[in-house]
Amino acid sequence: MPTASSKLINSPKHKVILDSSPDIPSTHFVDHRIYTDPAIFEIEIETIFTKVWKFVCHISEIENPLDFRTTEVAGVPLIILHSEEGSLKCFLNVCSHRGVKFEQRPSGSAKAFVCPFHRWTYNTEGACINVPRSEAYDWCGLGKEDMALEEVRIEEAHGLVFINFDTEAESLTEFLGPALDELLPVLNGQDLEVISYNEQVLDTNWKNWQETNHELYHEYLHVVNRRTGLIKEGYYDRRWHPHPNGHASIDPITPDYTKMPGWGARADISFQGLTPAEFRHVTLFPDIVFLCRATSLRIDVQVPISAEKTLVQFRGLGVKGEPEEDRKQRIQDYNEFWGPFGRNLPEDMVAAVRQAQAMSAKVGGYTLFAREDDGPMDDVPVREWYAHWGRLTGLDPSNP
Amino acid sequence: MEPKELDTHFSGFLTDVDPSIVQQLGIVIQRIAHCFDQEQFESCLDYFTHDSVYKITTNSAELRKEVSYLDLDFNGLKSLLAGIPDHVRFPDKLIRHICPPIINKMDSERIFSTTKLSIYHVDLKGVSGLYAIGSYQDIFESRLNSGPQIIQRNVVLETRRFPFGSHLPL
Repeated sequence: MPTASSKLINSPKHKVILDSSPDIPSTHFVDHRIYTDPAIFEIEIETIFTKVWKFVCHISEIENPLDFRTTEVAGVPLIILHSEEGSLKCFLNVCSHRGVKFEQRPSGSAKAFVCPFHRWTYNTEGACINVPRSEAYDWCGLGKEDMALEEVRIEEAHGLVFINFDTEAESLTEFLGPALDELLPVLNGQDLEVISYNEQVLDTNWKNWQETNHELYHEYLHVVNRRTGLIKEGYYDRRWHPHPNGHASIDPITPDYTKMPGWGARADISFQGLTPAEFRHVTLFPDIVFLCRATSLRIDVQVPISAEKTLVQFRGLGVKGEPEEDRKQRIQDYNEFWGPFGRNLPEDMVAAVRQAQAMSAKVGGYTLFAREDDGPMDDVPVREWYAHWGRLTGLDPSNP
Repeated sequence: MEPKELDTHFSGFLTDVDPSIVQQLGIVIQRIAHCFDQEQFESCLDYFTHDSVYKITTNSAELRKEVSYLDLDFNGLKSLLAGIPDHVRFPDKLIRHICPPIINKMDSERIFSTTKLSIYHVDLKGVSGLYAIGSYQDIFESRLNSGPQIIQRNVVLETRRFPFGSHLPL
């Protein structure tokens, strides 16, 4: 039974929730403060985002030597690159001299990085190779060899590039475990590349977005899902498979996309490794989702900005070198579902932002993850996710 | 038409265009924007040929290539617009502000024009903000007798990070 009722305001709505579910185990609901409290957000940054493997880009984004990509993890600016010598590297995008973020571009190709402030220069191995008038440091023995960029752990698996600030953390392979197995036929069955990218800053907590990606009860939100998926035979026979470390995957399904006026069946150019029109879905802790709808693969990753603001990066992947007609169709398939002007993505955003509007009103309350029917709308992946969240943060999400 | 070919068509501008042509195109572009703002979709479609294409693209600094966010033929656009009432949407209204067009190029069959665009959003409480900036790159039929009609529209966005997604084309 929930024990934190003392902090609730005297709102009939919350009483209804609590009074009508008096015997809910604390594993089956979370306190809204975990979405709004800046102190809890800081704990998450400290215990999750600087401790676990964080997806930063697909390998195709830094395919060639000297290619780089910049991003931010846990508030830290990073540069991810394919070094001149051919290895993947991640450095703080921070000059060793005066703390300037030396590379502003989201991506590019560079043999060296010159900080504009005093023209300190670094090569793609992170070594400082030029300090103008460096003799002024001779008196204290500081040399270029002491001024290398701060390096961060980086590993790649199946074309997915991850970083980790924690030098003691398990390997990426151990972290992933079997979670990606459902997607390996797609990830490894063809050469993939990012064909669509956009970002949106949502006025919501990052967990609201992640929950939307593995709480499938919310499919009722989408007219597309109601028409193409929920009516499909076998839809409710699928089961979630929680994996270690808070990851999860669900049994595949084959929606009938032709139920949407003007839409194709998505059968002709389905990825190798899938049956025609098949849909596979994997979530990785803490903030990644892979949604593979036959012809297009979407990867979401989040850059939490504050307790109540989240940058979400959306990538769409296609097959490298495919015929132009196939590429056009693949992009159209991606966009009609998940583009910024597509059918589903804006709806998910409405829900996540409206959650935050109520939560940030300081009304207290709880979110229920109490569905148990052993089907796709069972909340088990979210409960397992929060169990892992609790292990890392040391907080009880139902009563932080 | 390939993006590079289009770039060429839209890169320069003509200085000796009959002002009435600019005016006619400008009126149509304004009307389409007004119809989209008002969500009068049937009226929007009147200004597009039945073999027209409606695109939204941007030059992605992240991927270092052009990215398409929408690419629909006339029937696809019609179907999208017809389906809008079925969706759960942000309550914000989108309001398009557009400059007079410039004519980039014209020949016996087509007129290429560019119109700078900014789109604002305003919520139910009256709070407004900038949604996106960019330009309409339109290709019109040259035959203007029965009123200008668009063969192809590409909404070229400078904005790549949006405050929310929109079911409505820009």
